[in-house]
Amino acid sequence: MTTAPQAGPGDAASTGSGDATGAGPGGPASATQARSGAGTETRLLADRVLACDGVARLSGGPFGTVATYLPGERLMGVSADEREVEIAIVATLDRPLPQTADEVRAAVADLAGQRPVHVRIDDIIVEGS
Amino acid sequence: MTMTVPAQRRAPLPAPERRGRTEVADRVVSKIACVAAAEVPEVRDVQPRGLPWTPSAGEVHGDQAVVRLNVSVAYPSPLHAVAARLRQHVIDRVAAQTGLNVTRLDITMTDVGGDLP
Repeated sequence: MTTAPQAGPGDAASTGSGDATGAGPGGPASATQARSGAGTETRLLADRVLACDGVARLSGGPFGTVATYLPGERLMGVSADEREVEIAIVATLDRPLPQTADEVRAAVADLAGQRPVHVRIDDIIVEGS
Repeated sequence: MTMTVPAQRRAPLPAPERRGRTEVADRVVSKIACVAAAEVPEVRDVQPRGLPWTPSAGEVHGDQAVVRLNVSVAYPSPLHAVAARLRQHVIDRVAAQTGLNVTRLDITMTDVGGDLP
């Protein structure tokens, strides 16, 4: 009876300290990675999106709001935070737009991880005009 | 009184290419509708109809779209038949290209005249 409560806190304490030591090195390392890699991540996303079939170029979205501000430049069309990834493109009419959007989403799936990827088709290029 | 509920697990995440939403801008629907309308043989000219400061033919609400078009039609052609064909064609094209459901398509025939192109 008395041994069980003693074992309980002991276990909890050991697991607690284990978590703390595990998160100690992991937390700051990932944070610094995210801080230094914020620009490269969006750049990578932009490159992947532009390589997709049916994507003519990136677009700023309505009022140019889909953009990432990097030191010295403004990367239009891609915006990613820890909650979601937003991409705005100008598409071609070679194939149905949902297919293009799905390909874009599949292309950035590994970079996005668990975050949802919202694709906005902001404009299209018509061959005739 | 306590109630016991069975253990519940979170619904599994959808496949990566389904995670997130796809938006289509008004301008896109407008352009596709204009191109589709111009493909009908009796139609000579198409203008998007809208307010003067936003000459946009299409409006997207969720997965539904509303389209308004001004068309001019060649003279010796049955207007009702042309309108019906135009409506069918534009709705099919917009649905195939964007996956949106056109719930309303207003056609105004603003001009009649000229030869069949």
